[in-house]
Amino acid sequence: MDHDAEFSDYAASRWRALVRTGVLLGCDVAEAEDLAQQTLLRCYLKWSSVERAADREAYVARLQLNLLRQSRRRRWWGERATDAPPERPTADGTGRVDDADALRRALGRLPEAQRQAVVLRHYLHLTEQQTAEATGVARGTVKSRLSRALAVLAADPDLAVLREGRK
Amino acid sequence: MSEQTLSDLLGRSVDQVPDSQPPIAELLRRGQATHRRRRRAAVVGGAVASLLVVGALAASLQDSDHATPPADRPGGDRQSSLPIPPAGMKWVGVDRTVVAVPQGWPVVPGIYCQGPTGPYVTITQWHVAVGCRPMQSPDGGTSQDQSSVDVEGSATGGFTAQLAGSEESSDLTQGSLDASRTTLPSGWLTVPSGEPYGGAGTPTLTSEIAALESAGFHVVREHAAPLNRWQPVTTDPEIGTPARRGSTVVVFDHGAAASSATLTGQLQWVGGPAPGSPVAHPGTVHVVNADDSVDQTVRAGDDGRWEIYLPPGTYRVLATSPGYGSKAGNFDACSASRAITVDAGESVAVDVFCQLM
Repeated sequence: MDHDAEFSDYAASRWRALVRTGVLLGCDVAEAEDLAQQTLLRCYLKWSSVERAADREAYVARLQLNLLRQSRRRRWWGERATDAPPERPTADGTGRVDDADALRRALGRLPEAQRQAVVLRHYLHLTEQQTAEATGVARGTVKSRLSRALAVLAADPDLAVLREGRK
Repeated sequence: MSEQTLSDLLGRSVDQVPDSQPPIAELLRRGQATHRRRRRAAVVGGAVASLLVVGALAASLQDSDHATPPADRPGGDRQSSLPIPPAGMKWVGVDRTVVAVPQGWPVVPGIYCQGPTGPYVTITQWHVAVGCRPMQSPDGGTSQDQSSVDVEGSATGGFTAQLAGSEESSDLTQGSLDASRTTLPSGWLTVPSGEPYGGAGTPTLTSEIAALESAGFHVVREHAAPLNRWQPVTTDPEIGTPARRGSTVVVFDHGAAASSATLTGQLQWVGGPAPGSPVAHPGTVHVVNADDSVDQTVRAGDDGRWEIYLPPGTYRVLATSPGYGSKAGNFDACSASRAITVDAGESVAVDVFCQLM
């Protein structure tokens, strides 16, 4: 199979997970699709590295996190602080959207590093070592980030409602 | 909250994200266009480098009395002279791809634009960001850099360049950086950045020495006074700047207390269907102390040999070897037989075994 065909298969298989990972990392859907597209473009340009990577999933996750950092650095220039938080779209009233919104708000209250560790470990199901490689820290640091994040999420009142089920 | 509950909640929370089709045709079109652009840039860069080399050669022939090659430069090959950067600038890059940046900007590896307050260049094994400059945000804190150029793709020999933010705050522009992009002559290589943990993070003494030796440099290690919290290790020539292939690079250890003990040894496979003598094997060795406050990784070479510099303490020594446990996600499948205690200034040998059943 040639380079383009291999890449096409890979892109088709990973697109959905990349978009959803972007959403869990704090992007809206359009941003998450842009981020997924940028990540796959980098994969195409560095395909030999992707193929050679000792751990492909950790390697691609690192690419995605680096691109997210870069996009946020650029985006900062287009934003200015205001006296009040910007209005956010409200939930459409269905329980499922409420649930999703509650979880994303809870994730949004975590420090960025903890949020990344949680998404990579518990959504993408990377191992602690893979998460460490993707985020560029030691495995022990991943452990402590996950431990602190889980403690915060366990105390989150919105998530308590979700865990217990909506009445 | 249990890990399973959290996984379930994360999965459910993105169930409603609408499925879209991956834009594969668009990705292929953009990727192929970028490849073509890089090939053209490489041809132009090569031509410019050749002109510079020819010019330098002509100048050196005119002054042949002073053309003796330096002793530290293997071969003293005049045809692979380093292109001269513009006045007040220096070359910084990855592998053999460099751009010209201001001479006074330090190279601070592996920190993604969250380091010193002045402008600097940050670098990883595969990526350079030029012009990191923390800015004052409206709430008084420091925010991200204002302008950066990313130089990537050491593995493929090409790179992309992007400039974000305001150009007014920097003398560098996208155009000036694009114009300065140069491929080093074959006898030259940039000093690699040895990030641990899969190519990200601040280089440690262990990872930097491993990266230098892997790139074929001769390494001399020296102790030095603490510098700053972002740079436990520096080199001469500076990381990211050009050096002759095979030349000597001095590694300055600015955190001597944190790397005063040495563990060394060999990674071996033992047992299997035809048991006999242990077989040395490459892999990744992982050393961790009881509370995970020290956690370092180093690659064992083809002969299984590895060496790692640490603070004094007691460590578990674990390892992964290709094909051994890694497919099952077990990254610590191999281990030394016992915990190892090492004191300051001491070097302890410990072999790590992968037991084949």
